[in-house]
Amino acid sequence: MSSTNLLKGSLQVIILRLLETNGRMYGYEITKTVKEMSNGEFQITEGALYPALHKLEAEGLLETTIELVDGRARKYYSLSRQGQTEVKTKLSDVFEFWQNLQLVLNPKTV
Amino acid sequence: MKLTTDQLNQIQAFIRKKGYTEPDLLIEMLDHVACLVEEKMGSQPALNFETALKATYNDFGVFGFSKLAEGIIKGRKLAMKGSVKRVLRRVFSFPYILLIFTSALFLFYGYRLLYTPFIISAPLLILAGYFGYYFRIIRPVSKPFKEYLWIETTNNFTVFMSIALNLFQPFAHLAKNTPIWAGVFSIWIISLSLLIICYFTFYNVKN
Repeated sequence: MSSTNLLKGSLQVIILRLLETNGRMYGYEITKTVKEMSNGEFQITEGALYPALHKLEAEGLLETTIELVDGRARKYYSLSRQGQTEVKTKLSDVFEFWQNLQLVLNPKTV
Repeated sequence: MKLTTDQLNQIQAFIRKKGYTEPDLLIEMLDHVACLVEEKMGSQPALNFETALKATYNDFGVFGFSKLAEGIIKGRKLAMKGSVKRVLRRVFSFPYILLIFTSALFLFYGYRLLYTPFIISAPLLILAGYFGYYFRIIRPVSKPFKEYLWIETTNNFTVFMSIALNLFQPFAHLAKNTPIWAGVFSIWIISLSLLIICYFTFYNVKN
């Protein structure tokens, strides 16, 4: 299975975590940052990124602002107050899942 | 490598030529494509703008910008569904749930007493509109999304409401003598009220 398929389930958490770290980001910046941080292993497609961003916005976890940057309008995404709380819960869920997955995939031999 | 206003206009014209003309769709597409072109020109300084734009477009594959546009459009649809769910979740929680329950009872007994149920339905529908418009029951969304919600829902809402209210009229007299019909009409009008609340909430959301 490619990393893109595995990435799909974690995309929202990745976005929330990035925004928690960086404050605010725009769509292209998110794809670029993920690609750089994973040394090119993770590539978020536009077809997956924008639905995830808009879904998080609709859930009230993200807020958006539009600013004029370099002569064009740019939409910035940042965490809402609810999003700041939710990111911690979602992260702990992912870590817990990851630990459980390790237990299943690498069971200790007695 | 920053693009000039003229180059940005060329990208915008290029995107429009591909059939993507909606203003809020253009905002995200233009910035995204412009970033890609800037990156391409930055990594290959010998490349001129026209070639970089063409190469960027080719990088999207045989379907061109469709994946990018579909992503944004799909996102907006998901966001709309999400907003409707949030409004409904909010109105079905305390204390609004009490209002719904009381209104349903009021309608039920009103229908049993009056021959013209529309007399008591109309004020409730108007109140629902007022409630949706003046009480911000969900967190605000961004302005472009607000405009999208408004445009996207207006036609469907108007058509649906006129059909729903006209369907109701010929059977209205049944509510007086039949408790089941009175119950059905009560639920029907409550559902329409919730739809009105969603609609006017979208209209009034502010940035």
